[in-house]
Amino acid sequence: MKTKKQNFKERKLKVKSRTENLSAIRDFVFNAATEVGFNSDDIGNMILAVDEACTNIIKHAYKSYPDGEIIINLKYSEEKFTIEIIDYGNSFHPESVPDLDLQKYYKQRRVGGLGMFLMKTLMDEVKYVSVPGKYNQVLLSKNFNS
Amino acid sequence: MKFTAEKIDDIIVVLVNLKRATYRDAEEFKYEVKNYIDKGFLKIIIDLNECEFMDSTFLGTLVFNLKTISRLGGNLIICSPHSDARAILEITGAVNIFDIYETRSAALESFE
Repeated sequence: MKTKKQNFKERKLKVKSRTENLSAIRDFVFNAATEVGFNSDDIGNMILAVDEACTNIIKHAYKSYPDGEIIINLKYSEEKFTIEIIDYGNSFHPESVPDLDLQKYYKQRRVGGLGMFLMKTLMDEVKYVSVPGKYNQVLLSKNFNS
Repeated sequence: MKFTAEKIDDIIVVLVNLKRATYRDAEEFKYEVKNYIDKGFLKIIIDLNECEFMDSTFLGTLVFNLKTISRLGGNLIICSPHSDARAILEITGAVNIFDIYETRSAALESFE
């Protein structure tokens, strides 16, 4: 079990859908994950997953429109640290993205799906909720005892 | 310059001059490399020595170019990946489809 040095339960960041804001998002997650006691490997994995999720939002949900809203909520319980990412762009259907096998990916002509694969690999749990015309929500969770 | 290409005999070495190689530059990189393939170069080395991070979109362009050159009987290899870039190559299984060398000289030697 990791040592939780701080007792924040929830923290929020709101940014525009611009790639220059990715560093602020990374810093935000880094600081909170460090405070709750994750090691550098876990933190690196979380930051990479968040980076991929937010890049997907900028590219696909907002189609590079720079003034969309991205909200990052960080929450933790005794069991896990959860990164909730909300956007109001085009809806996403993760079930349409098959599990990735890079060997097959290489042999086929298909592109895309690598980001989703990375998120699933790097985090303990990845959940998508998409309410068309309203919002999309990505939940990335890391267990404290993983 | 985001990318610097150097011709050594029949080999093209493309140095990625980006600390963070991401989707922002992926399309440009894809066509920079494809341009050399279209010109008939079938031995390409991607030097990641300056690159501290690579996202999945950028990795996708490497796979695209590897596919393209492989169909023509050539090879695209990677050299000098830093730890974070290497981590992505390992997590995704890209290490199983790319030839990866620790140094540019080792990559050049592999084409001899």
